[in-house]
Amino acid sequence: MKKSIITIVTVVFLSGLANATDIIIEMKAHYFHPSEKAFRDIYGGGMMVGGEVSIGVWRGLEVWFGGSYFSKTGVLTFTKEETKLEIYPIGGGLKYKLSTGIFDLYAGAGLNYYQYKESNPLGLVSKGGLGYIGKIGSYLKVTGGFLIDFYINYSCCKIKPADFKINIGGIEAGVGIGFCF
Amino acid sequence: MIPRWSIFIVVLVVLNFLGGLTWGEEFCVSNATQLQNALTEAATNGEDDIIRVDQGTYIGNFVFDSYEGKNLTLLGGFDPGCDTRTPESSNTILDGNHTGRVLYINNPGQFRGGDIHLEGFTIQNGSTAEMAGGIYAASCVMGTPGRITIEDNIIKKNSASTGGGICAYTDDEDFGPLLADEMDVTISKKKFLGSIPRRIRERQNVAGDIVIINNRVENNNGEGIVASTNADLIAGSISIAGNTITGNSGIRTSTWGGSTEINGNIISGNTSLERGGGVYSSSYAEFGGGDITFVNNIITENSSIEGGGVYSRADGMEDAGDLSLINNSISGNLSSEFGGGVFIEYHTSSVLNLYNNIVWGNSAPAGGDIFMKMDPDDLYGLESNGFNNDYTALDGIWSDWGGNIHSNPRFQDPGNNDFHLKSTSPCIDAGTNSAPRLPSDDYDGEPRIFDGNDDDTAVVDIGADEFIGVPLQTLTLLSSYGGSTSPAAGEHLCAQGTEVSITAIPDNHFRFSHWSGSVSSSVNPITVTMSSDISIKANFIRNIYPPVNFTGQKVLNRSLSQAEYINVLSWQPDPNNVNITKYRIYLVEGESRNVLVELNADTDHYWHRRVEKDKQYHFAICAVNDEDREGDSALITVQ
Repeated sequence: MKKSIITIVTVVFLSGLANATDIIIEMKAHYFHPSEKAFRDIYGGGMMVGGEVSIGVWRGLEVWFGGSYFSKTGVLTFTKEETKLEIYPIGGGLKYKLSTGIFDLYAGAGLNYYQYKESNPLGLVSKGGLGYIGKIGSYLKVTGGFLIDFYINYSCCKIKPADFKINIGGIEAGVGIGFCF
Repeated sequence: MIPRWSIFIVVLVVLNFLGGLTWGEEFCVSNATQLQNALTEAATNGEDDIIRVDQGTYIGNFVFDSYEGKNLTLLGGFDPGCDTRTPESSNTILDGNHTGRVLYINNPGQFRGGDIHLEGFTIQNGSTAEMAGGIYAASCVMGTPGRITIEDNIIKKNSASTGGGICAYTDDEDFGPLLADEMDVTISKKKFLGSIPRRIRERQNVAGDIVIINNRVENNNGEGIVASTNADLIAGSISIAGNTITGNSGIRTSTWGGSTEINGNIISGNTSLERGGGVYSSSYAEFGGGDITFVNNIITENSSIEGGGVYSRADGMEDAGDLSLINNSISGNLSSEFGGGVFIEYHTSSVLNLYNNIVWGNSAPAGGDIFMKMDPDDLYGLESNGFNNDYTALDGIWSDWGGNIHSNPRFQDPGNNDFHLKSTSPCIDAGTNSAPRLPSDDYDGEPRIFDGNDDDTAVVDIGADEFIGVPLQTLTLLSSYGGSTSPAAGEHLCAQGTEVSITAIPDNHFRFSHWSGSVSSSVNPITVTMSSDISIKANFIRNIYPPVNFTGQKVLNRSLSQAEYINVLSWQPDPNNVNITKYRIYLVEGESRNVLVELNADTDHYWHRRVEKDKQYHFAICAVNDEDREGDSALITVQ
C-alpha cells in the first residue's frame, strides 16, 4: 500500500514538474483541533507546523505535497501520569485554484500518511496509518511573488492501536507564507 | 528581715542533723574482699547503704562496725552486675571457715540506731568463743532505735558460747541480751536492795523491733537464735515467724516490756542444757507490756532440764506481761526435771491463756506435758484460762475452764514430722473459736476455722494443724493487661481433686489469646483439676480491627493509543485501633491468599493496575500493629 501511494505521488509530482506553469513553496502553521474526544481530553488541541509545495499542472489545477509536525504532552485519564504524543502527517493531493485578482481561492483533497509516537507509563507505541485530507484556502498575493495562504483543512485517520479505534485527524486552521516562482 | 536562703540552709542543717536527709549508696560485690570493703565504706560514709551480693561463696569474717545510725541492707542472690536477682538463700554463701564469727553488724548511732536488713544468704561455719557464731546484729541507741530484720536465710553449722546461729540485739550492746537468769539478779537488786546495778542504771530508754522470719536455722552449736530488746520506756517487739529451727540449743528471746510473738515455726530436735530445749522466752514488765504469745508452732523432739519444748516466763511488778499459747502442737519433748512439753513460769499479775493446744506425748518427772510455776509473791491474784487443750500430764495451779481433752491427737506421721491430724483425730473441731489471738490460718497456711467433721458447724481444731478433710491446693490466677478472670486474679485455695472452671473476660477492644503457666491452651473457659498447685495466666491481646469503608471499583486509565484497567481500592482507618504501622492487602484467588502489597498506615487507597477488564478480583485488607500482628480482614470483590 505504502509503495503504491509513494509511486502515484512521485508520478504526479514529476509530471507536474514537466508541465509546470508556477510553483509555490510555503511554510505553514496552524492550530489543530482533534476530532476525537479522547484526544482532546488527553492532549487537547495545539499548534502544528509544516511545509507545502504546490505545482501548477494544468490551468488552475495544482499538485501539492506537504508534511507537518505535532507534539503535545498530556495526562492519563485516571492516574494523571504524563504522556507525550508526536504526529508526523506526510501526504499529497490535488487542489484547484481560482484566481480572482488579489486573491486566489482554492480547494483540494489528498491522502496523508500519519506516523505517530506516544510514550507514557503504559508503554511506547509508534505506528502509522493512512488518512485523507480536504482543504480550502486563499492565497493573498503580496508583492514580488510572495503570498500569504489562509487555509482550513479537515483530516481523518482512524487507526486501532489496541482494542479500540482512534481518529488522529481533525480540523486545522492556519496561515502560511509562501513564494511563487 | 531574715533572708529566705538562710532559712533554707537552716532547714537543711536541721534535717541532716536529725537524719532526715540521707543519700543512699549502693554497692554490688562479687568477692569477699569487695564485700568487706563495701561494709567498711558503708560504716563510715554517712549514708544509708544497700549492698547487693552476687551469687557465690564468700569465705571470711565480715565486719560492719558503725556509729552513724544509718540503715544497712544486705541482699544476696544477685547475678553478676546485680541487675537481676534470684532470691534463693542457698546461692549466696557467707562462710566463716571456722575462724571466727561470719558476720558482725553493729549499727548504733548517737540519736538514732540504724536499721539492719539481712536477706537471702546462707551463713555457715562461723565459730567464736564469744556470742553469735553466725550473725551478730545490734542496733542500740539512746534515741530512736533501729529495726533488725533477718529473713529468708539459712543459718547452719555455726558455733558460739551464746547464740550459735543468730544474736540480734536492740538493747545496750555493752551488756548483751538480758536473759531470764540474769533478770533474777537485776530485778531483785532493783526491787529490794536499792542499789541499782550498772546495767539497770544505764539501760536505754527505747529499743527497736527484731523480726526474724522464714529462715532455716539448723545444726548450730549454741542457741539457734538469741533475740533481745530491752528498754526502760519503749521496748521493741520480737517476732520470730515461719522459721524452721532444728538441731540447735533452741532459741532464746528476752524483752524488757516489749512483746514477743513466736508464730508458725517448726522447732524440732534442739537440746538445751538448761531451760527451754526448743524455746526459752522471757519478758519483764513493770507497768504493762511484756506479752509472750506462741501461735501455730510445731515444737517437737526437743530436750532440756526444765521445759523440754518451751520454757516461757513472764515476770514483772504490778502489770507483768501475759502468756498465751494458742493452737500449738507440742509433742515428743523431753525434760529431765520439770515440764516435758511446756514449763510456764509467770507472775501473779500475768494472764495465762492456754487455748487449743496439743501438748501430748512429752516426758518429764514432774509435769510431763505442762508444768506451771507461779511467782511465790502472790500479791495481785491470778487469772489463768485453760480451754480446749489436749494433754495428759499437768503439774501446777490450773483452772480447767472446760473443753480440755486427754486423748491421743492422732497425728498423721509424727515420726516423720508430719503433725497433720488424721481424720479420726479427737482434736478435729474440738477447739474453741473464742480463743484470743486465734490465727486465721494454720501452721502451713490452710484456712481456719474449718468444719473438719462436716457437721455444718465450723469449729477450730486443737493444735497447729486445721484438718480440712482433703489437702488444699493453691490456684494462682493472673491476667495480662486487657482483661480479667473469673474467679478473680489472686490466690485461691481449692480442695485437692476439685474441678475449677476459669473464664477469661477481655476488656473492651481486647480479646482472649491463650492460657499460660501450668496450662497451655486457647480454650475459654477452661476447666482445671486441682491435683496440685496450679498457676494460670490469662493472656489478652488488643483487637486489631480491619479498616472501615473498604471499597473497590474497576476504572479505565488510558492515553490516546494505550489503556489499562485499574482496581481502585480505598478505605478508612478504624479509630479503635492503636499502634497500627501498616496495612496488608491480599489478593484472594480460591483458597489461596497472597500478599499483594504492604502500605504505610497513613495510606488510604491502592491501585491494583493492569488488571483484566472482564475478570472478577477478590481482595482482603487487614491492619498490622507494631508487633507485626495482623488483625481481622475486610473483604471486597471488584467486578
